[in-house]
Amino acid sequence: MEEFLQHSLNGLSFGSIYALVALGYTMVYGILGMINFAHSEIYMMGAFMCYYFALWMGFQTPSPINFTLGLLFAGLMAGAIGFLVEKFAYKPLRKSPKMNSLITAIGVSILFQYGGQIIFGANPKSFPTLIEDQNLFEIAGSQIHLIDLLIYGVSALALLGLHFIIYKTQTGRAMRAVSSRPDMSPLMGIDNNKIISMTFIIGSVLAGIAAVLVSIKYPKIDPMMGSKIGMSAFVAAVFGGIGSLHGAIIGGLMLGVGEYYLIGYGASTYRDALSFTVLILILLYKPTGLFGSQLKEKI
Amino acid sequence: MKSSIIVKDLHVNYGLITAVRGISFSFSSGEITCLIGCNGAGKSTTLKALAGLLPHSGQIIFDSKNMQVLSTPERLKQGIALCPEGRGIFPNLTVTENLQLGAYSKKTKLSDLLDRQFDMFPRLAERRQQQGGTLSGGEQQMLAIARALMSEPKMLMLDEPSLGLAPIIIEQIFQKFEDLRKTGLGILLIEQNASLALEISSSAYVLETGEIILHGTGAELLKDSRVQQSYLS
Repeated sequence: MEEFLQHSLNGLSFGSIYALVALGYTMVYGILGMINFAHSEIYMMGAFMCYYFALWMGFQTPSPINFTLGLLFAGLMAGAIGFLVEKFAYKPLRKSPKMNSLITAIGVSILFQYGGQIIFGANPKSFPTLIEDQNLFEIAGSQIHLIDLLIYGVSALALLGLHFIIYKTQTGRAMRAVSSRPDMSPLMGIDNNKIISMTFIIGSVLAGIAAVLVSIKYPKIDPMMGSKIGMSAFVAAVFGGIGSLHGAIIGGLMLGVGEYYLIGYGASTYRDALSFTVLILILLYKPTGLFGSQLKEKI
Repeated sequence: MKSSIIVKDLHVNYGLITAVRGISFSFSSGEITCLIGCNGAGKSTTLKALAGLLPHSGQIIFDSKNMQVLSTPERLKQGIALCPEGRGIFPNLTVTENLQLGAYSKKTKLSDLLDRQFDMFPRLAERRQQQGGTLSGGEQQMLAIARALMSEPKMLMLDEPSLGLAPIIIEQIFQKFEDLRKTGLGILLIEQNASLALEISSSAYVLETGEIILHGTGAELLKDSRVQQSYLS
């Protein structure tokens, strides 16, 4: 029972990360109907931006201020990179068949992975300790680490912020409008291109934040680090019903918890198999996912 | 001050097919102007071009300003709103959210604008938290009109507002148009229901295969034998 609780808590911590990244996939799919396969590389760039930021700033000792600054910087830079990727890679293809954008997305992903290996080096770098992890307290024999609490807290804040933007602001309403009737939104005075850019920026900021949180917990970063988590987050988005925000969050949490049960109960070899199995089962038996509304053409 | 939109030699093509062949007409604030014609005459195409949704050539002059180079959102800011064919409401947004989006380009307080529309359309006030897609056809049409009014336009273009509605609802909606006209709004109305449209229009044009074949006051066209034969029988 103690073990079970510990695995669940660890799983929720990783699941929150999946949820943050999955939101980026699902938001872009919701508004453009395309899978942004470069999203995992924006996550990777978030970690590297934070790494270099800490280096330039000469962060020596761990402190909450360093942690906050690193998180904000990574979020901002990831947002900027997401904006640029959309502007230069996808926007010119807006009117082309979706397959073109998909192939471009894979191309951008490869460009970042291998460009990253050239610029940052292929060897893993050890991520600076922005904040010292410690055992805070115990609940029923399960240890609660500071970093896990931070992951829960920051993810929850980010999700609340996102919820506020989507449901309480004109920009959020416009995002939902463009997602449902892009032909009608200009009649409201909405500039669809701006709203699409905004969607990429928000999704990328979430990915950048997720990357820093993960890198503090597992302080090894390399240019290929996005592919594994990107795959899992993508599966989480499909599992929850791609295009659905709540689906992405619940899908992410469930996948994270599921993976930790596998690890915890001695089947860690199959950890990566879980996401693929889920993906295959979902596509076979419930292609709309848990919360997906209608079946659009999926690519 | 009276505003007017003057359209000169408007051409619209869909690829190789010409839908509107060089039409010229005008409409003004405080007046209802209608375009009548059969299916495929180019009525909706004309409105979409005026709203900037379709590429077009020719001049669209709004109070001596040329609209042709402006995008749809920019034209809306100038005060030209389109209430589109098929209503085009956002089905998964609530009534209130649909209305709030109508004022997307507005910096002023939304609550005053909202209250004004809810006063004008009490049915919408009752259903403000309901999703747009769950409304009846008549309510959706009211929502579409109210949403277009949220941008406080000077000119409102209405594309087939009576389509698919019960006669009693049509009467209510047309009464609203008359009320709006009295407040100084300019209305350009497209209708297949020609008799109804001509009755409330001070100026009317008949469109056939992309060209204007007749122009006159609403009363004149109601009596015109060609109009009676083709559109009123």
